Amino acid sequence: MRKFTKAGSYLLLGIISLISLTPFYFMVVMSTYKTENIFKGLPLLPSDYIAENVKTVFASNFVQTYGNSLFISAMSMLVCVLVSAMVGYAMTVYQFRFKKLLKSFIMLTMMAPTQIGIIGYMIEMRTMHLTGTLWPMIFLWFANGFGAFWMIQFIGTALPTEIVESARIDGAGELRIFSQMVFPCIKPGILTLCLLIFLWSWNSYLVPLVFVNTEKLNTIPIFIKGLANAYRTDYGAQLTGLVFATVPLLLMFIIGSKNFITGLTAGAVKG
Amino acid sequence: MKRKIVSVLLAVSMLAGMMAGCGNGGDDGNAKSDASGEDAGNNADAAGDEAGGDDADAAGNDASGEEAGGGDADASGEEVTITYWGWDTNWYEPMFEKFMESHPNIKIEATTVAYSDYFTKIQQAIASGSELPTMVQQSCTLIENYKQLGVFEDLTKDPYNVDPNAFFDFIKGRAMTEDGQLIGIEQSVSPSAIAYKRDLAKKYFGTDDPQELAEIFKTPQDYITEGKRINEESGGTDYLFHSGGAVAEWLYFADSVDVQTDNTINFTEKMTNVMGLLCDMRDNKVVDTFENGTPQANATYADDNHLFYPCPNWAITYYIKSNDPDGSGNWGLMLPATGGYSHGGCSVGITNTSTDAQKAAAWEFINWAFFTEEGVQTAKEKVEYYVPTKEFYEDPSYAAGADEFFAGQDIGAFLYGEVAQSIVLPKTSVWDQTVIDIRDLLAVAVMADPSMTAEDAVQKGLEECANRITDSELTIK
Repeated sequence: MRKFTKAGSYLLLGIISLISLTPFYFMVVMSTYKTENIFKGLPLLPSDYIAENVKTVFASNFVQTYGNSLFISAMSMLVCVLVSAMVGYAMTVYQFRFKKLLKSFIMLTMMAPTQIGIIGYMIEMRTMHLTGTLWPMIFLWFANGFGAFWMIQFIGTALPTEIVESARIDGAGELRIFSQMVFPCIKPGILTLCLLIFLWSWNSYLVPLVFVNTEKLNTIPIFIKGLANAYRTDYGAQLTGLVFATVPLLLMFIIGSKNFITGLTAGAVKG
Repeated sequence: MKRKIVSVLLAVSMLAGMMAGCGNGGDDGNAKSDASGEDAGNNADAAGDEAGGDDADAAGNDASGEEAGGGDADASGEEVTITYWGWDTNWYEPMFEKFMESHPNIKIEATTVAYSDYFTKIQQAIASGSELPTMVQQSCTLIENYKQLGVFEDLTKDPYNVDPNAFFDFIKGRAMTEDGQLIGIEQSVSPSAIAYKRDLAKKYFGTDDPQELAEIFKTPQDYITEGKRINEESGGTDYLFHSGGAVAEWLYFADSVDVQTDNTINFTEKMTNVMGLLCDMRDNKVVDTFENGTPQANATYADDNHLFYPCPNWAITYYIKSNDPDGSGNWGLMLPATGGYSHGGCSVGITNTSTDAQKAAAWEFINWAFFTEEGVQTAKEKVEYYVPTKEFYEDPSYAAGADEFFAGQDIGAFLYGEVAQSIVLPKTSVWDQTVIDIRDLLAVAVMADPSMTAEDAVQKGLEECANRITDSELTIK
């Protein structure tokens, strides 16, 4: 009976994996086709047009675009996660007035969609003379409501405050406690947030759309959309671009997957 | 320890490399500063004031050739960089490349912006006072919206002095405001007809001659009769048209009813005939169920099951030649029963937030592209676009010439001689694009639901209009 259940589980997992991976398979296979041939039938096997599609993609400043996206996403991720972790630490460990009000305010910022504030943000960036640079696409992530909320929740449940108190008794400063004691304890939360911020920043469309006014500042989503014009879309080239665009995300998942399932706080405090 | 130092150095150098891409790039010679809201507003006001003046002088000037030159960007010898946002890479890439060859002092930086995002991006840039490009591509279906922005130079004024009468009558007023400001010049004339596959035409009608075919399809009812016959004879595999959306598009643009008259949106009057004929075609299997513009629909250009394709001039390169590269010699172009019509197109304007040097350089390009032999020939040879400037058509060879892809048919003479001269454009409205979006939705709904009647479709469209047309002073009929 147990064997039967196990086989059933594997079968179910196999089916779900197949369903999840099929679009990726088609994305890769379709990227080897000429646009006009993609939809003539079901493209199950690769074609021979990949070189032309790659040529189309790389003919339009794709390397710099890729670098821009990498830089934007890496910077956004690093600073956002650091700021969010600090917010989470402060909100969990310190006791101060209006703490609840502040938490509510953080949650409130999550409820306002980006579209509402985009004009104000554009004016802010223009006033700071940052239009025409990559910074507007990075600064947006620095103070991120979701990141702060995520870390508040995570640290609240994963960090035993006894660690902080013990460190203070041993004479450690706040910066040292945060970097050497707290940070390792909240590693899974940090890595998950890293992944999410990187993913959102990488795929962000609206903010780059309004701030990118020259090919030099292009990001991947704007670049890929730009492979279409009003009358004809080069799906083959777009899919090739998407294949390249997926690589960093896949790497991030592969590198981070082990940590997502490891609860580092387990056993942090001996009973 | 050594490894640590090397790692840190490497990391720092990588970061420095990335930071280089983050700089403001002040070395591009772009004289344009951020157009502050204040500046933009002032410039817009100035333009408006100027336009209010007497423009009788400008109207009489000859815009063509060298005389139309505005500020001379080359004369100073300094390099000027101008910017352009556009979706139409097929046009601007070869045009800019050729222009910059002969004008080394002018550098044009083009940014590709997807068609669907274009107007939003322009609006957001204006709202936030951010930098606008020197030249803007103005879609014809949003031309009234562009007119309302107040950010374009009036090309009938000094130093441009464009005479609108230099262009074809049917198109000369499209980019012109009510008070006579010309905000852009049409990129190309967009005459439209019906393209057909010659082998299938011979098979089903016994002829592939465009005039004989036009005789067979003299009325809209002929499409239904013949389309039904073709579908029955083929055992249900062959259709006259591939997509309901394409048919609706053709019928809509061929209809001369204005979308808006004073404070009334004439939706029912505009759409009843379109949806009625589409429903008849659907019921009689004249039109297949492909969704217009999708890759699946585009793949039908190369198949042996669909005969007719509504075809604006630009669709010859964008759709027919690109989707059926092996079909050379098998295509023809005929006059539809509705007569010649215009579909699509856009104009190019200069923003008044640009510096004087940039405006002069932009005009240098526009003048070159639309009024000089070199620019006009470049558009013809590289993009197969024909300018709306009438004087070039005085030379019969300009728009004439056998097209091998169309089995030697003289496409130019047909489109720009026969079709273009008979076009009557309906009056444009700020709600053009909205109504077009609703039309596309209805065409999809009609094709998806065989029980939907034309009345149902129009009623559904009216409900959509009520949701989308937010001007309370307008009556939607």
